[in-house]
Amino acid sequence: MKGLVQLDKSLSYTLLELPNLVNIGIRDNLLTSKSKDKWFPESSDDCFKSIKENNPLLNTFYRNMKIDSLKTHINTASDTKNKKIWDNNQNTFDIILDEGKVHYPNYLEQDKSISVMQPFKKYMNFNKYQPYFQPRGRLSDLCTLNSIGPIGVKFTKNTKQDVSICYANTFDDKDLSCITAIIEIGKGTNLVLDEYFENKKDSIKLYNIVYLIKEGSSVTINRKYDLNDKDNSASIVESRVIQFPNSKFTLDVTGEGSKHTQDIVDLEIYNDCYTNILGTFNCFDKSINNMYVNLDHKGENSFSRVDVRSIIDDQAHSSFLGSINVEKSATGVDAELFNKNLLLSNTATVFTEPQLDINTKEINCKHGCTVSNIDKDQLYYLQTKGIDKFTAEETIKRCFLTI
Amino acid sequence: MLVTQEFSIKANDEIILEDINLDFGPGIHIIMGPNGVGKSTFAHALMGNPKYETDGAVEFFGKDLLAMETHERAQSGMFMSFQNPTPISGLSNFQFMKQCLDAKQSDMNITQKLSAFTSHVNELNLDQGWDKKQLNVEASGGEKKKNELIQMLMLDPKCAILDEPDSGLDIDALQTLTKTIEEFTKHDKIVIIISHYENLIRNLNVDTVTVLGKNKIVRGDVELAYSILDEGFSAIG
Repeated sequence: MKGLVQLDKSLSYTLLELPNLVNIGIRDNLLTSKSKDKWFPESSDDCFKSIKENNPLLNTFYRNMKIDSLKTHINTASDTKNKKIWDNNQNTFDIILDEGKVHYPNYLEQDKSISVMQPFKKYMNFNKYQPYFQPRGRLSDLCTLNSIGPIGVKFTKNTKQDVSICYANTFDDKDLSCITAIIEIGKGTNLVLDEYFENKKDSIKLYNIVYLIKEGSSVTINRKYDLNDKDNSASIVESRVIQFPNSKFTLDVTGEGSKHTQDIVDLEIYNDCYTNILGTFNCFDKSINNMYVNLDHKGENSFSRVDVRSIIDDQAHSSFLGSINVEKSATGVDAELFNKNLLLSNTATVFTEPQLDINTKEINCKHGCTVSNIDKDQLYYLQTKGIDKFTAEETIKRCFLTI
Repeated sequence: MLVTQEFSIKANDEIILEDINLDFGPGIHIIMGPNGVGKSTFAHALMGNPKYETDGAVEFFGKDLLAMETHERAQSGMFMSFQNPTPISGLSNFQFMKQCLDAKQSDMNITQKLSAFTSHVNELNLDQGWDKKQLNVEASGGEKKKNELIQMLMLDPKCAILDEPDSGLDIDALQTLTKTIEEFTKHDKIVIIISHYENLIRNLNVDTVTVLGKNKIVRGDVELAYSILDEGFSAIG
């Protein structure tokens, strides 16, 4: 391919170096592909300009996220991609997403209520989603640029209630994975989406996912992280959620962290919406887990609640940054933001930071962040009824994560 | 039998009770005393609350109670009903009860456990759905006390220490409480009640009354309690 470096051997690079490599063809991506114009031509140029000016890894946004392991991790690009063969009949998931490819079983091909967006198919009309992939100065910019191609799934109101999605690994290599995806939920759709993020051993996976929750729809996402190989895997998931008027959105995330996990959620919330973000994390050993939730209330009379709880033990690290912004016109908003942490070890670390930016008076807004240890009174109470100390502590931990 | 010998209790380097020599056999025993004298502390120290340092000896049916961990004391047959039961969000009343019975290696299967629990809930006039309510969360004082009583009945201990079980109870609940204690004691149980409440004491067949004071301990029968109820703690000098 013209202008691309043809690799005979594997190439090693770090994420810090990637901004200087995305345009020279370590692989075919959104910037270098001949299909660029069909996807996000302007926004990919803007992202490229942004990462050249400011390396996303140096963004102070990551100041509490302990990203050293991301900076130094060696990714190995290879021109020989060993592909796994996915057998959807043997799989428990309805849809499997990976870099530049959506796998789905035959029955979905017949199902007119779900349509799949593949990067190299005609009439996918990716251009219209460009505004949602503008640069943010974060790793999501690198993800978009370095993706093989954007993918997506559209659901309409006739979709069956429960659909499961796995973000899997088709490529059996040690290279960086970049998944740029659009999940569009059509007007009036009721959907429960079970998401599963599979780890890629000894590798980093970057995700930039845009969720469009259209008018009158109701969506619950149950997000779970793979626990296999978590000590050797990193998952950076950035989700941008656009809630159109009169929509309901619940995101329920559970996990244990990993070598490095980031769950970054940005929400734009318009009129008369309901938003509920729940997170429960049990972090131990050396796992790192970071969650960021940013709610931009752009419309009137919406309700939002964020409740994120983490247990941090051993040498684990956890950070939470919660932000609520209410625009001047967004009167009647009712917003709550809570982060509770159970810190069980002197060698574990936790950061918790709430930010409120309220530009109107007629709203109700509450927030609270706590870091505590096992409640000694609760422990003693359980023990007086015959429950041994270990079981009592486990019970208190389980209860702490019960929202 | 529960026997204390030169039993002393200290907290934050301050002696709270010293050289207590008492014995409790099957029957109902009342412990009274002025506020702040250490009645609840005595109960918590017997259960092994880590807030307190103890000295001396406590023998419980031939076993050295002070050598045991708190949960071992409970498993050996000691029970304590709290004056202010601790709330635990996320743990339902029945889940908790099941866990306590499992720890005790109860022979009952899950259906039997739930059936017995529900039966006690009904006897004590607690709400339907009590099994699913969170432990001591958003419950009234009286409901919490009733819940402690259910735990006592389900766990069937050899010795139950009830710390002000009557506070927060209405007249009907108080009658149920006295009936429950009397019935429970029939099975050779030791029941030690910390209370000043006249109606409770007058409605129970009390075996001994112990008055804890700053510098002395007085023991007698129920007449001692009546004197104190009539004249105050000055009755014992």
